[in-house]
Amino acid sequence: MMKRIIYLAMAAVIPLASVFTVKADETCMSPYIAKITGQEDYVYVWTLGVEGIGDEQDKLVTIDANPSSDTYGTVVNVLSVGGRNEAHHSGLSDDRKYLWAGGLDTNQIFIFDIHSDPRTPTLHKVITDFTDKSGGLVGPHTFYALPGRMLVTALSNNVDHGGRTGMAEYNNAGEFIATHWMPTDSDLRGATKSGQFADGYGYDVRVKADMNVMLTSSFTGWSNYMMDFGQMLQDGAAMQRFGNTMIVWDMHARQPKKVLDVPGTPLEIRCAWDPSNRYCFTSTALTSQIWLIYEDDQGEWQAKAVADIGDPSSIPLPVDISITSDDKGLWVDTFLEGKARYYDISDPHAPKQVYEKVIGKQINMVSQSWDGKRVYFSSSLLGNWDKLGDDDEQYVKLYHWDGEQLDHKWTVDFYAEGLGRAHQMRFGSYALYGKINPNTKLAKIDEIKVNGGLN
Amino acid sequence: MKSVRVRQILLVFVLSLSCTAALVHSASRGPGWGELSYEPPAAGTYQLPVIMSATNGVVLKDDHSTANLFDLMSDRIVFLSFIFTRCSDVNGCPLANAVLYKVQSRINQRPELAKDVALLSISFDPEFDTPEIISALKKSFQRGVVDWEFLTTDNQSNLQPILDGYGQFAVRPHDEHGVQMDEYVHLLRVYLIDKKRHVRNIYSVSFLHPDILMNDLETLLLESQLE
Repeated sequence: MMKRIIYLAMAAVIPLASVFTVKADETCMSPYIAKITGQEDYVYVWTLGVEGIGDEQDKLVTIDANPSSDTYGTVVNVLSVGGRNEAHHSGLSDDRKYLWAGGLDTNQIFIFDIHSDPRTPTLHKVITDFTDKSGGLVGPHTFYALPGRMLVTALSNNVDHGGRTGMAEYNNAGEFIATHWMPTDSDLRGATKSGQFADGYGYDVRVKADMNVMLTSSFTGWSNYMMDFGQMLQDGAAMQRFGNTMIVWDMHARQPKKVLDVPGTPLEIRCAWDPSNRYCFTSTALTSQIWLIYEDDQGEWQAKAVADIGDPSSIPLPVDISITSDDKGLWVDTFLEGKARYYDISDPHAPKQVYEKVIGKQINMVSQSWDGKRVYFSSSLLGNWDKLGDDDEQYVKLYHWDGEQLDHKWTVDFYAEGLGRAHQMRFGSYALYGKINPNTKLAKIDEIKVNGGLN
Repeated sequence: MKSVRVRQILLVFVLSLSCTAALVHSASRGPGWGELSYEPPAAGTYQLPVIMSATNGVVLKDDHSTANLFDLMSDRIVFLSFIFTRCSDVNGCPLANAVLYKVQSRINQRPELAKDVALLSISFDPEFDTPEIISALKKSFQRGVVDWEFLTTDNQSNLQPILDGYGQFAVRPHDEHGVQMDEYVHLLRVYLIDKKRHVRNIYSVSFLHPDILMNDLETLLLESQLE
């Protein structure tokens, strides 16, 4: 029997396991966001347009993810946006009515209405003045919901197109609020530099709401992420322009407090959900390590490498990571190997790899359901960094995870379907809006809990 | 009909009592029920940029009179919450009421602040939350010199523009038979509005705490002194 148990609101302030019987769809989203549990109805895939493939435009692809639907595992809607922007990441608003998606090259931000008809999203608004309004930010990357607002990290700036950057804050209507620049050696903005670096680079953001802590990581600027991957690897100067820092912020004040050395380009940040677990993880792309960012016994935030990912000397290039809802497991994708690894992080200071599987010839993003039983993978990293020729597989794949192995369920081939390069995946559900999925044979809401948690 | 109203009002008092009880049993609840686990930034040491303009609307007061929200805000800093009395989640509307109750208590201890502050709690369940119900709620919570108004609306058409304006997400889902359920699914949100009717903060469960609200209030008061 199909179970579709929905809870709105959850998060990170109190021990979740003792409070919530069901949780969110993804385990890596903002703690302030409305959450679904149980079976997601759709996966929205922000997709890069590719020359010679379909209409060659960036697009939002909707895949039916409900096994009770006749169109399960197939593309049910394609919404092109009229050009190519280096489509990359996307994020849901706190009420999940809208999906924000960015173009790293054109700096455009596309806001899709996914609540009026979850099966058929529409383009609600396009923000075209991101760089002007923010005072020079380039490359809108992470879209992270705050109450009534969206925090948008950037990767670059419009002066030198390097890695110096910041974050822009918008309200849910898409109106600019403020810019928060990363601290640098020349302007620490009140932060303490704890090590060798204060590069001012940016990438991802996550909030430990129960601790009033925000963490940001660091990647590289427009001049690198738009460069051909092979050419960049041969360019010694370009290879020096990668981030080596993470920043600990006072969330409420949006004030940078401490600059941590995390050499090797720390990318995705995933924080423990249990408030008693006062730490987050990241992986370093260039040095292939898992790093723990944690509060020590003296209340000081520290960073340390806690595990290797594969053989770092072979440069597996770890990309996306995903923490389980019980804080005990971490998925780690390595782009060049096309491989997903699962780490036991019960001891966060000593993660242990317990499983690995090759998913494809290349791999980037991973999204799992809250119960961890469904794990979705996608293929594209960046338009100019994806593999070439036959190795340039583009897909979204669903696997079921039983705690010991991944069991393949379906693949959507994004080239065969004329779509493009599959990047970020976000989940949708009718139940979030008080609706019943009209396309399922057993449509039924079994239980609804009002405001069932913290957010 | 009268007995129904009596039962409804009794329910409000029960909810009020459960709210008080929840203050005691604060483990595994939102931080607003107890002590913050961190020191929030001090008042005046940070900025609260304008998020959006506040929204006006026609509301019903507990004495059945109608009023404009902006008139009720007057020239004051406002904490605005959206609630409904049938809300049973301890981290939902009861938390909003409890935190604003604590804010009210602190302002009562500093009565010089009272003229600059208003608390407004609007029901998004006008079908159940009649003026009689919100009047009972007001009697349960309003204390001292602080102006804390509990409000409802005539109907959904008056309410919806207010909810839309503030972005307060609240829906009444349907069951499998297509019947609309009594409960609302909503995200708890409380809004801080300055004297110029700009929204300056939007609180969720995870940081809806009287220490934070008071610091934000004082930050805006310090800001207005500098203007």
